[in-house]
Formats: sequence, structure tokens, C-alpha cells
Amino acid sequence: MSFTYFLKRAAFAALALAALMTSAFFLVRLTGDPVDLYLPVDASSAAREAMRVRLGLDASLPVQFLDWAWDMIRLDFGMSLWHNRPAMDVVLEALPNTLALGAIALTLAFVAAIVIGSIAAVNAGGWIDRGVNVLSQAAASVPDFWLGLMGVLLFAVTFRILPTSGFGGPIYWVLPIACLFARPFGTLVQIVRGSMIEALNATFVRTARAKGARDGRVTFVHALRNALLPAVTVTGDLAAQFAGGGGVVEVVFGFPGIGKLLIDGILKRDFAIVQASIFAVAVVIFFINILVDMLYASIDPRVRVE
Amino acid sequence: MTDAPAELLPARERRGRRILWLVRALAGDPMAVAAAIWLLIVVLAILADSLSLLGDNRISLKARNLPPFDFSQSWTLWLGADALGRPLLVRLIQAASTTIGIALMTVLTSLIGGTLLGVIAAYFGGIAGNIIMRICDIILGFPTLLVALFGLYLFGPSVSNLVIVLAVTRMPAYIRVARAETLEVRERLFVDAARVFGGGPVWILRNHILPSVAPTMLTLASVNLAMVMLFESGLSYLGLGIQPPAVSWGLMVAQGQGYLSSAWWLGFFPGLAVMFTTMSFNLLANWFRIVNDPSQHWRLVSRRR
Amino acid sequence: MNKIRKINALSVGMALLVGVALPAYAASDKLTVVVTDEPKSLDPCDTDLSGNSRVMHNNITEALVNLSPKDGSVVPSLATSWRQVDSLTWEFKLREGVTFHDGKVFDAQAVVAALKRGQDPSLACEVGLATLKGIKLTAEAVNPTTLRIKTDVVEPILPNKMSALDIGSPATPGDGKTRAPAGTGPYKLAAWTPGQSVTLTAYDGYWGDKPPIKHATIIWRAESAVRAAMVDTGEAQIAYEIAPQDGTTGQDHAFPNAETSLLRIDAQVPPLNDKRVREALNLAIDRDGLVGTVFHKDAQKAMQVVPPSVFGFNPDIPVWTYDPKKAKALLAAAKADGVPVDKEIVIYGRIGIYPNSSESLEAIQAMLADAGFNARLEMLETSPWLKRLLKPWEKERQPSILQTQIDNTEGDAVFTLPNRFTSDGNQSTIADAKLDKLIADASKSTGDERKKMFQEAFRYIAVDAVNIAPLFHMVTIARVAKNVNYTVDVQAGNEIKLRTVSYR
Repeated sequence: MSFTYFLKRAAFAALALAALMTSAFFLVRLTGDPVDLYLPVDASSAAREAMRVRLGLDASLPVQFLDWAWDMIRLDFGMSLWHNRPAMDVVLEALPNTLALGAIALTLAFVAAIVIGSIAAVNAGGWIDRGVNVLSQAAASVPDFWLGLMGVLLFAVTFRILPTSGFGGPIYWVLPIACLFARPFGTLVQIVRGSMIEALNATFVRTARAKGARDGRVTFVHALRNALLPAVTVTGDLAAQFAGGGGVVEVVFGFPGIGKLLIDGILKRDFAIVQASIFAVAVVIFFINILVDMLYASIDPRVRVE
Repeated sequence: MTDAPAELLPARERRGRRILWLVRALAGDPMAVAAAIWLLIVVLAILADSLSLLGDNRISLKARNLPPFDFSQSWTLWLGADALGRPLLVRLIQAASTTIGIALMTVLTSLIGGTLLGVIAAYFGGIAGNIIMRICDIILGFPTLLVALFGLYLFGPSVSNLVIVLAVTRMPAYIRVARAETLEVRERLFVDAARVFGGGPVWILRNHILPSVAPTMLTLASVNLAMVMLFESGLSYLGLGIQPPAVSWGLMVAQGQGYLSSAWWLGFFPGLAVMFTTMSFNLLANWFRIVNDPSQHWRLVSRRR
Repeated sequence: MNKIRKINALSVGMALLVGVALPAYAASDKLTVVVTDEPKSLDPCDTDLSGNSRVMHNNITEALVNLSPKDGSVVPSLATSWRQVDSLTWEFKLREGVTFHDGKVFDAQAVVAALKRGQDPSLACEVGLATLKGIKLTAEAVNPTTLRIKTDVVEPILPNKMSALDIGSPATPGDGKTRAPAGTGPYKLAAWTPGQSVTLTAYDGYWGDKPPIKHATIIWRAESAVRAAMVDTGEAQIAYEIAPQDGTTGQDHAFPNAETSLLRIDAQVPPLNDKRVREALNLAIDRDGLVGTVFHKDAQKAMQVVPPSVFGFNPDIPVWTYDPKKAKALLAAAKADGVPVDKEIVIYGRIGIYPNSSESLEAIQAMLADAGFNARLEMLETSPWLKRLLKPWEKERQPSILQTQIDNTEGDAVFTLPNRFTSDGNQSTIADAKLDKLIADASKSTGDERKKMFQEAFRYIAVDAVNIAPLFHMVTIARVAKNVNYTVDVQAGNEIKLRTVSYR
């Protein structure tokens, strides 16, 4: 991948980001005024007005927008109302948790799907294949928040071998990872299995076999490479989704990630947090897409990034 | 295979053969059969409920959190009762009609809207096309959850808003696919021919472009159905979708969460229902895709290589 | 600083991990408490909010006086005695030998600074906006142990109000809120890891008895079932606000939490502007059916918006009986007079305002429907709910009933009545000159006269105005681990009295 290509993409991404942030600015302000939420219900209307002035919410929307745009240019996201700290600091504390959670869940799902999907493909039609098929369909269809609740019920409340929720050592990661793992795993197994079966029937594998490649290794490697491409594409899409936070799962487990931060930010009308999270997530998604392109090129030499 | 010369047969016989083929294709895929049966049961239950055949559904605080599998009770109570003493089974069925109804309406909205916008973007191009595609990019740049959150906060959570918000978040995918398909079809010979013979753009769109684009779009829609259902459940679980006293499966799980250790069945059964139904949609979507793709028919006709 | 905080967070994480994996080894001076929400602020001037107060009040920071949990009377804390010098002046004698966690000495100057800070409009402190609202206090240090507070209006219950002002170190910044409070309490803040936990450690220089618990961790989980389970698994020793359905074991202790739940009726919009309709609404609610099912069995049927412990409570108002027949008759009579009783009435609920909040409204909606009301339920998030609670309202609005609850931890009716039931109140659906005067007069008087007038005000609201459908004096449930000694009292909703906790 050439440097100019990277620049071009970055420029387009920056443009899209600007549009995104602008629409977010207006949308967030349309969701309502935070003042009522932050003052005691008994506070006088003078106190409310004073807070509006302090937050700059008394100015007209265009003036607010210009102020905000100037802050954005300097990458100043302002103070979080709820946390009373710079919003970006709060976001940067949550982001690594989300990224680690998503990366671990996706890596596990990817590896497990490749192994199990190819086992099923090699035994296509057999009972292993059928079992894998049912299991993966179920995994792809299970609501993650429900899986989380049932996990808590079973492993935390009933057997008491895992913590109910929260954050800390490795033991706190087990249930959230398991929940985020299920759907990508199910989807990826389907894809790997499908494309491997197709590849094993395809011309080029038959050719390889006809040319005297022994059954087994060579055939398998050919088919696997064929299956990797769609699997990587889907994993990339999922990674981009997870970067926005395993939203619902983070809420279930009280996991301090970006998804929970974002949902709380909206509920608490914490504009700065919402803006900073969107920005951070968009940047992460940009790099994930670049990474996926690079992976693509390295798996399939025919794909040349222009 | 006998379906090759189908175009030469009279219409009625063609339809008959098509149905016969569909039945055979369904029989070749036992999981799709199971899925179809499950969905049939759900639909029949919703029908029975809408005709009020399921009996009493009143709040009865005395029957609060009645445990399931007590077969001495009336059969509607076999899955227990909810936190207000209403039969859980009946609640599940009422929730089914909301959940599935929203999924169907959403997919239909984004299918129609997305196809039209995509076709317009491709066929007419120009500024309008560009604007449509850029808006798609922006929507796709937001995490889906965020778009939904904003929409529901702006317009308030109600069934119609939920449908619109979900449809908008799904639509870019449809627009992109419809545009790509149309661009491809537009270059084909028969469209050129139609243009040469003086067909107006609307006529060409209706008679040539839409029919060629339709199968791909329908396949996309069938895959999306399950996804939308899961997403709606997630939103309702977060308290941003369906609001009480209306009921959906996601909301039932959320309400059941408060009873996790005292009445597990309140959250367990609705989640299970989401899973079975999503799975059925997925399986039927798979089956539908294969049926629509002749190169994959081998999967249905012979199970072994 | 940053580094230290990280290390602390890490060790807290490790401690939690060990605690979870090996509950049997839980050290006898460590305690974990689980509450519903993260504190919004740990600034000493923000303790008017119960979520903040639970962590801060009498743990990190203290006030001049406390209110007795038994009868609401004022008892010494940082002040040892007080007296009224004249109608506008109060004098407090302060405790000697008290130091703040940052080494500063506690004296009259510190109180002057704290009071000034609490009333500073640019800081928008909770205490200044709520308890000390509408009254100007000027404090003066006569000598290090004597403090005089002048008020601009007569304030018979100034000592009560001072129980809400937590005194922070004079080093607390004056130009913004602090996240690292220093108080005089038995515990000092060790770390606040946002989104995760607050940890406290015992303060060696505390002026009172040294607490048995040396290290306390406060964490928060939104779900009652999860909080309850955490005590069972040993992840926490005390869990607050357990829902009625979870709080059924021997470890669960119910206590009245000074909250009263009610439905506020918008009495200015037809058909609810007809008193018969409002009475019918009250008669249609089966309160006995709700207690012990959706509400806790110890909740008391309410007739007024303050619990019996509050000064001014009127014990003689009869509670509403459940009489759907009479409700129907009243509605029919109103209809005959041309009142549009068939008009749709919205019930605005707030998600999670108390355990089972939406279940309770679903049940009430069904009860109202049975009595012939056309009621629709709408459950709202806090922010849109506040829009309905607080003025200004639209002129052309739908008739509505709003789910709310009113707390009175300060122990006097004046903290409840103005604003909620006066014409100029920002959340009042009633504009009645007679009631306005009654409340204003009562607020200025003292003793029996004050009590009588407040009682009359409560009677007037309940019987003559009927702009509320009172539900219950609420209880909260705390779950306490078997090996922990902890007695919950009325104040447990606002204070975790950590120093009273010990292991058996």
C-alpha cells in the first residue's frame, strides 16, 4: 500500500468525520437540555438560567456551532458534565477496555471458526457437519444480552464461580468475552464452512488434485485460503461494529467500555462525552478498515490496493 | 434438472412446477423445515391471540411470578405468570406480534426505500445520486447503535419511530447493493435495446431494471430480517425501543432482569423465543438464497458430494 | 498523582479479584458496599444529593450537626452547642482538636469558607440550590471556636438546615468543584476510579472513636438482582435498594427511607380539573393489592407526602379506601355535568424511579381502566420526565398524572411543601391563594403553631384540593452479609454509616 493511497483515504475519512461530527453536534443538542438533569429539582429558574449561561447553552445555535467548530479544530472536546473532567480523558480510559474486549472475542471467534468450520467442511454432510451447522446457527442467532443474563444466572448466582459483573482481573472478562464471542463465531463458522465446501468442489482444487497433489494438505490449504477472504471481510465489519462498543453487553456487565460510556452519555445529556466518543470510535474504525485492506492484500496476492 | 425449459410452459403449469420444486427443495433441508414449522406455530399463535382465543389475560397480583411447569393450572399458565400475574405464554405471543411485526415492517421499509434510492442514484447519477451515496457513508460511519439512540431520543420511543429509525440504519446497505446491481444491468444489451426503441426511463426502470434487481434485494432482505429482530430486541432491552405497557421480547428480557434470581422464567423464555425465531429466519433466508441461486441447487437436491 | 491513582486502581482490582476467588480469606477490616449509581460528585458542597451523600456524609465529610435517626431532632457533630442570639442570628460553638484529612485545622474560619462556597452561584452547589435556597446566610468567625450566622429572613430551623452543609477543608478550591475532597470524617478518600469504584481508608487523626473497618470500597450496579447476588457471592458485604422480590431472605433488612410515592394530578386540565374525577381516581386504586406484591409488604399506605417522622405530619387524615363502585358513580355524576371524563389521560412514569416502577403503573393503569378511566401509560427516561415534572408546561396539554416520589430526610415539612404546592412553585399543579398563605405562615412560625399550620396544609391538600393520589411511605431493603454487624436506620438511604459497621 502506497503512502499516497493512505493519504487519500485519510483525507476522505477526515471529510466524512467532519460531516459526522457536525451532524452529531446538532443531533445531540436536539435531544434536550442537560440543565434540568444536573440541578436539583428544587433549584430556582434563576439558577437554571445561570447554568445555561455557564455552559454556553444560552447562545443561539449558530453561535454555539461556531464556538464548537473552533474547539473541534483544536481537538478540544471540552469538559464532561457528569465526570467533571476533560471528556477525551474519560474516553481514552474506556477505549482500551472496549478494544481489548472486542479484539480478544473476535480473535477467539476467528480462530475457533476456522478450525471448526474446516472440520465441518471436510466432513460435509456427516453428523459432525450437521452438529456444527445447528450449533453455529444457534450461536449466530442468540441475543447477546440474554446470553449475558443467563451466564450471570448460571455461573455467578447459581454456581458462584464467576463474578456477577464489574471490572478487574481476568476473571471479570470471562462472561463478557463469552457473550461477544457467540455471534461472530456462529456467523464465521457458516462462512468458513460454506466457502470451503465450495472451494473443495471448485475447479482449481480439482485441478490441483489432477496434477497429482495428494489429497489432504495441498487441497486443504487451497480451500482454506479461499475461505479466508470472506472470513476476513466479515471479521473486519464486526470489528468496526465492536469498536463502537459491545454496547449492550457492556451495559449488562457494567463493563467500563466505550459503548457503556456512550449510552450513559446520551442518557445523561453529556454532550462532550458523546462527541469525544464518536470521534474516537470513528478514528478506530478508520484504522480497522486500513488493517483489513492490508490483510486482504497479504492473503490474496491478486487483490492490489490501488 | 427439469426446471430449465420452464419459460416455455403455460403460466399455470409453470407456477405448479415452481411450487413443486419449492416443496422438494424444502424437503431437502430438514433444518429449514423445522424453521418453517416454528414460524408457522408463532404465526398461528399470534392469529389465535388476535381472535382472543387464549382466554383471560388480566392483571392478577395474586398470581404474581407463578412458577412454570405447574400442569395442574390452566394451559396458558404452563410457562408461569409474569410479575403482574398475567400468563407468560400469552404475553410471549403478544410480544411476538410486536417483535416480528416491527422486523417485517422495518425490512419492508428499508427494502422499498433502499431499492428506489439505490436505483435512482445509479440510473440518474449526477448530484442527486452523489448526495444519496454520501449520506449513506455518513450513516455507515456512525455506530448503528448510536444512530438508533439519537433517533429514538429525538422522536421519542414508539413503534412507528422504531421502525423508521431501524429502517434508516439498515437502508444504506440496500442502497449500495441496489445501485451496484442497477449500474451493472444498465450496461446490458436489453436495456440498451429498450432505450433505442424509445422506452422512457420510468418504463425501463419498471420493466427491466427492477425485475433484474429484485432477486438480490429480496435475498438481502431475508438475511436482514433476523438481524433487525436481534437489534430491536437489544434496543428494547436497553429501554429505548418498545415501552410498557406495550410488550416485545427484548422488553420482556429487560423486565425479567429484575427477577433474575427470584423468577428466572420471566427473562429466560422471551430470550429463547428471540433465539428460535432469529434462527428460523436465518435458516429460511439461507434456504431462500440457495433456491434463488441455481449454482447452489446441489446443496438441496443431493446432500452428499 | 496520576500514577498513584493508577496503582491504587490496580491494587483495588487485585483486592477484588482475591476477594472473589477466595471469599474465606476476606480480611476483617475490609468491606465492600454496593449501591445503585456512581456518585455524581464528591465535592463537600454537593452532599444534598443522596448518591453523593451516601459516600461522603459522615464518612469523608461531616456537618456542624446531625439529625437523630430516632426522632429527627438536631444532635451535635462538629458543633457542640448552639443557640439563637436574636431572630436573625444563630451562634454555634465548635468542637476543638479536629483536623481535616489534609492537615488543616477545623475552626470557625473553615465553616465560613464552606458556607460561602456552598452558596456561590457560579459553583452551582447542590446544597446552595436546594436546602439553602432562597435564604442568604452570612457567617462570621467570632473566635476559632465560635461562629455566628446571620440570616436575611427569619429561619426558625437553621440548625436543621446546617445538617446539610458538609464542611470541607479550607484548601478546597473556590473556583471549581473538587474530585479529591478533604473532610474531618472517620475516612479519607483513597481513590475514585470513575466508572468502577470509590475506596476509602480510615483516617488516623479522627476526633471520634476509631472505626473497626479500615478499608471500604463502594461500587455500583444498576440491577437489584445483581446487587443482591453480590452479597451471596461475597463480592460485597452490604447491598442497598434490593427490590421486594429479591429481599426475602433473613439477611434482608427493610427500613423506611423517608420517601413517599405518589401520583401528581395535573388539576388544571379537564377532566382532571373536576374534583369528583380526582376523587374517583384515588378510589379506583387498590393500594392493599399493591402492597406485598409490587411494593414491599412493609410499605405504609400514605395520605400525605411526608412520612410520620416529619415535623408537621398529620396523623388524622383518613387513608383512601378502594371503592371502584363509588369511583364509577363519581365519574358518572361528573359526566352528567358535562365533564369530558372520556378524554384520554396520560400516566407519565419514570423508568426505575423505584423498584418495580413500571409494573406498579401497569397495574394502576389497569385499575383505572376498570373504574372507567381512559388512561394510557407512558414510561419516560429521567430527562423527558423532568420536562413533565418542572414548569413551564404547554398551555394546551393533555390531562396527565405523573409518577413521582418525594423525600424528606431533613425532618421538617418546609422541605416538602413550598415549591411543590405553592402557586409559584416550579413543580406545582395547584394555584390556591389559601394554601399559599398557609404554607408561608407556617414556614415563619415555630413550635406548636408551626406544627398545626403544616398539619392543616397537609389536610387541605389531601381532602380539599386532592391534586395528588398518594401511594405509599416507602421502604428500602438492604442486604447485609451474615458475618457483618450493621443496623440500618431511616437515614440509610442517604448515609452509609461505615463507622458503625463491624464483622461479627
